[in-house]
Amino acid sequence: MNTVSIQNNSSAIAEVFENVINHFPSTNELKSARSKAFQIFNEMGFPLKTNEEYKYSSTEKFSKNEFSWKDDQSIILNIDFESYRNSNKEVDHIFLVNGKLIIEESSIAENNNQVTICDLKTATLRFPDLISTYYAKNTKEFNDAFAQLNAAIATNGLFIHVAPNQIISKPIQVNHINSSNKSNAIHIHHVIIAEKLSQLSIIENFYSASNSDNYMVNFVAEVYVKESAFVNYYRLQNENSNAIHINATLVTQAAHSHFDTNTITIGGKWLRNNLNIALNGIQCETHLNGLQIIKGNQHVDNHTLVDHQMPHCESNQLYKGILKDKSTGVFNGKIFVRKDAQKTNAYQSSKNMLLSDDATMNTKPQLEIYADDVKCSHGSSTGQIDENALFYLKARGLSPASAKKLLMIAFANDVIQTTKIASFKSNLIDIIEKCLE
Amino acid sequence: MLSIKNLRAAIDDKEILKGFNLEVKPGEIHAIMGPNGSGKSTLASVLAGKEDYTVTEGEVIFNGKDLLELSPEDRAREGLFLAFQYPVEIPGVSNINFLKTALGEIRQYKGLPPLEAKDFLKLVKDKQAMVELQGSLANRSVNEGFSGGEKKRNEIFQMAMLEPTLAILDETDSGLDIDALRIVANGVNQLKRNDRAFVVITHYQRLLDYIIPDFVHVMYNGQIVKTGNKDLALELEEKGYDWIKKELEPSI
Repeated sequence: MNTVSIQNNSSAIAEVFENVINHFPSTNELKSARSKAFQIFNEMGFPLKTNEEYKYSSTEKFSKNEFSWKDDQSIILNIDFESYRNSNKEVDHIFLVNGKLIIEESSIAENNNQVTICDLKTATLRFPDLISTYYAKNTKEFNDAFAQLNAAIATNGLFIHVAPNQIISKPIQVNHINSSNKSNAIHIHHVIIAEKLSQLSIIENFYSASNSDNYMVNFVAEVYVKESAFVNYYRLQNENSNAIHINATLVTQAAHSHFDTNTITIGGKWLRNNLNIALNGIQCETHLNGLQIIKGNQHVDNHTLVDHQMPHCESNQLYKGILKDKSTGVFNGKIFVRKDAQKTNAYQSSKNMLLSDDATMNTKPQLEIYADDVKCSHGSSTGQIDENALFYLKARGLSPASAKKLLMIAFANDVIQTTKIASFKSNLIDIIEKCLE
Repeated sequence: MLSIKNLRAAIDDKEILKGFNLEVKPGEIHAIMGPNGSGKSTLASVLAGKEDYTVTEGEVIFNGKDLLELSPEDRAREGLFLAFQYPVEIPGVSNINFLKTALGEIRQYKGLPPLEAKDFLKLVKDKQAMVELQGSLANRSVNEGFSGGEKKRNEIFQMAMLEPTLAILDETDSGLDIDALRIVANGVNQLKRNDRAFVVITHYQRLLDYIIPDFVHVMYNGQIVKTGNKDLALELEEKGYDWIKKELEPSI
């Protein structure tokens, strides 16, 4: 293990860690989980160039100590919450500024025994058993420096708990508004639990407070989908062109459960999305889709891992990218089918459209199959816009610009249509049409 | 309306059109026949502005404008329409949405206001009926999953929507059964007007029983080598093209 890369940072980060351990509400289990995570982080250090998992996504900036690791207490509150609320009136809005829950702006029903939504601190005080059990349960299985650091020092984020048999029909929209002018590292950690036979839909949107904000988000969401529960979890990443965004979405599914997720990336400077789904009950179904439309010098890296541990499960993934200018993209999709996971159906497809000679896409499917009665497939294609289709449209009188736009929207539409929340879908269509102007 | 003089065009340095001449006046229907590889489809592609071809010589004047100077979209906006031999499937782009955009841009080019939504929908309904195209097809992605006959009818539907002054039909009849052929021909006949002309490229005389041409041209080796009336098509159907090739031989 190499610790050299964090030497510059180590004392600043250690100070933050000590502060969390000593002052943040805790339980013995939580303390030990944080300490363990911090120990692993220290052993690993930030990933070096030689790390295969970060081959196409350089993390040098982290070892160069470009960030301020202390929590930024000065929350900028000249935010027009109403405009965010107006963008979708069919959901309950929750606002987080740098991960801190803004209760007075959020729609959280009190005395609601269907769903509990609170911040991590409140959850630790009110539900110490659940936090002791679930905080860092999934991160423990994920050998990644950023996720470990997050588990060690994150104090902000949401706890969402849906009681058994409860159907939450109105989607919850979590709006993250991130803000810092001091290159702050913002750590956010969600624990989401959908109990047996419950249903929950979450839309999670990431924004920057302004175009000049400059920060790094290191975000972890642990999602526990219990037996026969249904969870939809859709995400729009639309931060400013300075934003660095790393996230690990770590999902565990129990028997007969459904999980449906969509990661739409249009904003941000440098993004790494880790999405790990462990199917550890029989007959789970999971759909993981993604769309990135990027330009300039944007870099977006999607790493997915679907771990089929039990029989009769199905996973589907479709990731699409439209890359302009000098943007770069990565899709790395791992599928494990373990020995016991017979009758697995696992499909994966990555399709990308490069609109410039300088744009780059790296795709790497990785299938490891140890069961013998399974259906698995993967496919990957990267190409340019279809010239025959373009000519056909021009021959009908369409300008090259509107012909291209039509073709790009059609390309993106496959992913957008997988979204099950109508209001979010129509928002996405508007946003993407604007983005492809 | 259309005047093509000594047109020479090549693809990948291979000359396909070798001094092609044609005069089309408003209201006329011209049929172009000829053996495979004589350059019929190349002619259609060059006129529509496909970038793969290089025009090396000659001129094409369309409604007083130098056609070869225009972009493909401006040719369409000036009133040229090509019914493709192989209509392209465009997954995810709805027929209606794309025609709305096309019509909007053509009208804008001509300085006309955009059509009201209800007028556009009425137009769609009327024109669909004309080519007996099911409403569900118009709402589907462009040509995706269409049968051969549906694709060709969709071309005629688009033609009816865009109301060109000159329509070039590139083997629109190929692969059609007799019912589909009648529907397509019927669509063309309904669109016939004194100020509109058609150039019909075909392999088969049969189409010309339904679309009566004013002129039949035989194309061979990149040129028109014989011109006649509809009886010439019947003669070609009966005797094939060899006799024309033989006629040409002494001059070679």
